[in-house]
Amino acid sequence: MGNKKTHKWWQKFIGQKMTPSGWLSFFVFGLGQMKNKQKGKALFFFVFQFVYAAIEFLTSSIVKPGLPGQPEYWGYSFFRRGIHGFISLGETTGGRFRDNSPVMMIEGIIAIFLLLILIVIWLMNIKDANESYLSYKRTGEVQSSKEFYKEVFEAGFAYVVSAPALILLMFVSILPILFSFLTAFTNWDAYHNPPADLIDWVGLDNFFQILQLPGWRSTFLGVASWTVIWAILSTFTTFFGGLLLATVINNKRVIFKKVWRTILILPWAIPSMVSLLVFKNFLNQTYGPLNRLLEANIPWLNDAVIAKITLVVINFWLGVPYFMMLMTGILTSFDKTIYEAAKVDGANSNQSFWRITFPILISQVTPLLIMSFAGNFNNFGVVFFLSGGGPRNINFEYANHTDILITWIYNMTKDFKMYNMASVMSILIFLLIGSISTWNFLRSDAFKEDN
Amino acid sequence: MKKLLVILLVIAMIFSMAGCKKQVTAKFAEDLKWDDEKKEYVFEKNAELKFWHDNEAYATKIIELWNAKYPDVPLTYEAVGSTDTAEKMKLDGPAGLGADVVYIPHNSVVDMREAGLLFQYPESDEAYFKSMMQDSASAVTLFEDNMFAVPSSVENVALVYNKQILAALPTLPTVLNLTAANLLEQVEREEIYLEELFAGVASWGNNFAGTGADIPYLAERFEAEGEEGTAAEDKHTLLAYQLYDAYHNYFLLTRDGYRVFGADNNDPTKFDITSPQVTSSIQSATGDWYGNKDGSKLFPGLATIQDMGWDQGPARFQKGQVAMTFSGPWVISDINKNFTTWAETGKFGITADTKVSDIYGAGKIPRFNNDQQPITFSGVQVTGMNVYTNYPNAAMNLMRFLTSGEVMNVVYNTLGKIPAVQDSATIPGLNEDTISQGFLSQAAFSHAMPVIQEGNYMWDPLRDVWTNIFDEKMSIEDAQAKSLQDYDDILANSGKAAE
Repeated sequence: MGNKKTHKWWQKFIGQKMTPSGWLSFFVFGLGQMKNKQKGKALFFFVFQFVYAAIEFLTSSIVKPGLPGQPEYWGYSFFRRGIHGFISLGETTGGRFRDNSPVMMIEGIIAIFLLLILIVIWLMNIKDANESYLSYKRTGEVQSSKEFYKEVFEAGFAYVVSAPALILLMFVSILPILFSFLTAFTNWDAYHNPPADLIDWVGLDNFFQILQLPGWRSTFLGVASWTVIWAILSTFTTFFGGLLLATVINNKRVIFKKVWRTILILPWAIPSMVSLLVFKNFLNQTYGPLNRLLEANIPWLNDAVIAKITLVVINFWLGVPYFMMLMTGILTSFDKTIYEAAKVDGANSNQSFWRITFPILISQVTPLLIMSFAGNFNNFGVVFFLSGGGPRNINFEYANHTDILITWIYNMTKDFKMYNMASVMSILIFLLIGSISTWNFLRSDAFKEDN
Repeated sequence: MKKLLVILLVIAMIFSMAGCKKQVTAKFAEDLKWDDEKKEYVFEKNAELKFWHDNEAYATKIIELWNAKYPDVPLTYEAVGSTDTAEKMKLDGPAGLGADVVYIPHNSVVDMREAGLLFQYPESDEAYFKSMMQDSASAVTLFEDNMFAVPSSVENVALVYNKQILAALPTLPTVLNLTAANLLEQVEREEIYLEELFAGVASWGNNFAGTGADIPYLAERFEAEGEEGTAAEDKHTLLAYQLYDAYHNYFLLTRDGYRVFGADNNDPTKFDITSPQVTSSIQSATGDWYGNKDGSKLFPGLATIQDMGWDQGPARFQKGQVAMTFSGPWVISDINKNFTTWAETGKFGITADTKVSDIYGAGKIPRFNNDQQPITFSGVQVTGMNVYTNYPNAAMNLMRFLTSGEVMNVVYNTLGKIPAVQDSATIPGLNEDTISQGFLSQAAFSHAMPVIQEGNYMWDPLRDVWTNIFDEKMSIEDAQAKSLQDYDDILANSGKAAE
């Protein structure tokens, strides 16, 4: 593959240098391979160009004339219409028999995906023509197509078996994510309501709006900072609570271990939505049984600070069984001989916990801790069903004191149909969680051992 | 070396091509073919129909009736919540997966019509549907004189009360001529103003103990599973309703002539929440109980108006713990379900012969002391036709079938809702049903929901006028100003300005 030092970036894509065969393949797929006397391979590449060209031709207005009165670009062929639609997002309004912007965006993304695949094949085709040409020049031997396929199958077995999954991922996973990502750059809201109305690209306007408008900015900063505090608090309380319970129950002086475990696991066994709605009534300041029981008038969910504490406590109740079971599982799997060795070395039980149990435990559960953090960051259920975001904060827009980013997004889309702003928020959440999680994950022992 | 991967990609590509094929047909208003003999549209060959509804019993019954009438046209249903329909249809409609006919609440009509998902009926059908259904119900389906849906059932808030409890209470002071012997008669004979009712409830501390009267079956009312309730539960038991909700609180604003979005409820420039009529209405209707949380007599000890939700108001009413509430027909449907159990256990002295209307009643909200009747919102459930249907003629026939008398009977008997029909005599039993008639008497004093996009944005500002007064302790004028500012902010952020 040539000398590493003289390797330019483009050589990665098209081989060491452009050869006559390469130039032929540049224009017609497989033509360079023909020149290299590799007929099978030439046919293989040519099929792609042929299929794409056929699709483009068969869907064009030459074969399938458009209906009279139809917009001209409706008659465009598949890829041209896809790209045209993606850029313009439609020109005629009026529902069923007119343009539907989101559909055009999706069709555009599909067309672009397929074209990207074609470009990859095109580059492979050029690179292959160049390399075969050079190797023929060097050795005078022509590799038969049959040999080539055999080599590909053996060398590329991993690609062959993962291909279906990759295709699925591209269209099932990446496409919707890309679609909602791109929504952030449009004006898709209640007054631009497809399919009746068209939506348009607005660039970074939505992002500027969050930064510039005082109402949005203060709401975003307020909600985002509470979200981070919430995620940290709820993760650490459940984690250490679970650890404490697990170590206590694991202690050899505790009797009826199974009974304790069963009782403590119960909150996990009830659907959390049900228990949250029960708690909501239970904690009602005016009518709730708790205040009646205490003969007090504590604003469990009606005071900004107390409501936040209540949320963390209830989340603790819901989340601690999970970590308790997790820790119990890990603790029972520990090799007892380590502790015996530590005992021989004169370590007391305190030392053996903090110097042995804890470090091993942490190294094993760090990825789960990060996942739990991300999960709590987007813990829609607890906030939505328990406090509904309340108590009211009249300085925020569409959010209240205990709203976290995800419930704020929900309010925006469900009640006010601000899809564009909600999408901007999703991107910001992704950046926040994605960066925190990746950074943590890369530093964790579990990840290092995996490599 | 990803070459084999590529082969698979090509296969996927060819499949996706097939999926992307777009059917282009002419606009189908012209496709409708009317058969004058049969008085129906000409079914398309191999037509298949589907509708969305959230009640299985109702849907099964409809399919049964349809199959009896049109055995050749298969009809199926999918369980979709009526409030989820609009969002679901925005995606499923253009994709060709949507039902041909859907059931939606009035506010979704705006959303779906704005999104271009509802078929606009030809004039002949519009006239037919209008002749069948109440005018106030049809109003929500109209936009610029075009019809986009057909009313199915109506609902509105009215005064709902427990006859047992009210009969045990003495009359309240009133300036009207009083012939009644107890509060029940006083309310039913309309011998009390709303303000007087509020003042009276407040004078009793809004609980049973404060009335000094002997409340029948008092112990049973607070009885939880096998244990006796405590006096602490006797809190806001005379009147309790969903305070934190604009739909239930709206009528209080209407005393001096305020109507949201103007006289026809559809002028986006007339939100007018800061008008003096609103100020005086709030002042008069509430006296000192709103706005003065600490001194509130009507709801003493109510920490925030959020505390009084469904579970604390209507749900307690259904259990017999509350004497009066402002709510809709749905509050009675749940009672109907419990009634047989109560009859079996003899709760509240109910026997097999007792009817629901012996215990519960509904009627007009008492009028204001300027002799104006409180105006409520009229809620309407409608059926609409998906513009993306492949069988417009068959779907139109289904629409006509769903508005026919026999289906309206099912709406009344199976769904327990009040059909939106013009003439209630066509529904057997409806005219004898005093509870439904009670709701209908208030329905005459209700107006259609706005059918403009702004109508979806009015709810929070309308509700928060009260929250601002009660929880934020603002003056009435400040609360109105804040509410208007919230409304303007929503409009600006939702893209109205950029339109």
